[in-house]
Amino acid sequence: MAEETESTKTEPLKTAEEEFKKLEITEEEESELKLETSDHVTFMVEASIAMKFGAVQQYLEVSPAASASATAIPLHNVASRELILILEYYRMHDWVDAGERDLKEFDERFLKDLNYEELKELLLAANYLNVEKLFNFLTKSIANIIRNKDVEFVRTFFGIDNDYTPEEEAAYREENAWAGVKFV
Amino acid sequence: MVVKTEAGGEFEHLPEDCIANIFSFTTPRDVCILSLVSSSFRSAAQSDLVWERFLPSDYNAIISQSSIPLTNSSKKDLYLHLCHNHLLIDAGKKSFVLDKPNGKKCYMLSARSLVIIWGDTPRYWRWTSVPGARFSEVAELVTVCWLEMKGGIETRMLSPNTLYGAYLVFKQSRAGAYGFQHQPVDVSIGVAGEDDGRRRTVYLEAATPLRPRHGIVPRIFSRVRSRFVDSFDAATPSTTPIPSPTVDSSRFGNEYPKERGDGWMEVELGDFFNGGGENKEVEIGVYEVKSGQWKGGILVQGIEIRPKCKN
Repeated sequence: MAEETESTKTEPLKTAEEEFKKLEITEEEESELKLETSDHVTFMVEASIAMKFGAVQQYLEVSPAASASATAIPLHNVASRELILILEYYRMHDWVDAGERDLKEFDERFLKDLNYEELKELLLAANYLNVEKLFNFLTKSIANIIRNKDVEFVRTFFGIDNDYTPEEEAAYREENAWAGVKFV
Repeated sequence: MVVKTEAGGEFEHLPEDCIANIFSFTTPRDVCILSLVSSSFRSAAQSDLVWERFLPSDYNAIISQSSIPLTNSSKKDLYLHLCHNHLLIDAGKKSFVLDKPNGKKCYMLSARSLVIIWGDTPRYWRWTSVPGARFSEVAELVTVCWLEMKGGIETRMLSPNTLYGAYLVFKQSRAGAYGFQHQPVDVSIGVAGEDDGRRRTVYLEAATPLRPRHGIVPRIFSRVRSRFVDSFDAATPSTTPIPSPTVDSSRFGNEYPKERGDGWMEVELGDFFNGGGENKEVEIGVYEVKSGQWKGGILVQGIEIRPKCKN
């Protein structure tokens, strides 16, 4: 199922990216940084956007030469698929002409196109890259998904195993009984 | 393209403050459920980052008004403390508490903070202290013809985007209430200076007859008795309040009083939505000035303002 979602999604992504590229041509030539994802795909990214990534900033502080040279800045924990999404998000949010409503519509569509697995992968990538705006957007979105859900739903959603002993679990359920936690 | 493996295990490696960040956008109730997921979630669910978000933004200012020093180690402890203890604020004239499932602010305006017509005339109203009340004083309605009480609250004190209900908190005095049975009482709620407020009619006595003696004992006796019982009351603070007659209020709707869990009764005076924009004064009033009849025998603790559940 994940395969399907992916193939249907790459198309609009590409066109969106091309659109952005066209827009950029009209503007002045901007300096770019070379980023390399964990699956060894290199991206030329506008410095104005790449510098929003905490991980990139940190890398350049340690090795400032990378900003001028052709050396790619490695992003060990981000795959190309996630970086494309992150760039799509930041290019839209960085676009001066984007009004509040455009951004709201964009965010909604962006979220709708992600399945749970992709959403989680993207959160991990955003956490690693230290990109505040997207990270906050994703945490809020995930919070909305897990609101008003039961324990089993949350375990399945996050793919987390129950590591409590039956005694511990019973005690904690008791402790949180006021929240209307259902026994399963 | 890289083939992705199941991502579940990887997600467990999210740093705790990242998980706590997600939790902070849910509700206290959700976080209790989330803490049952696993030990790492339980640990994130205790985080100050989460509970700080659930506390009202001005909690420091509220706590500083209270005379009780709060030395809580964690924000969660503080949150729970504020849910379980009614904090006296505004020189003891209001009480403050958080609504546990969602952290919304609730207040009770003490009788002392209300404008009560004839309130300073002991023939009509007396100020007394009773066990089980939040405030040091409650107002005892001895007898009046003209019953009028008004209170108000500024919306900036309340949680935004919240539907609030206002409730008169009262009970019968030991003498027993009289003059209220089948007697409509007008109540109103509205923004000061904006409109007349919304008006409705409520009853301060249950829809079914109370214990017969209240109807039978002539008023003069009940007043004599009232004086005697009150001095008795003061001497034995452990006296449990007389249980109020139980009424299946669902049969009658919310214009009749309901029992609270704390030995008092309440009746809804109305509701209002606080959007959280401009600060406004919400005025709440209780009147029985039409019948011309004498009535009395109730203790008024105050007006409670708390989030209203949508039914």
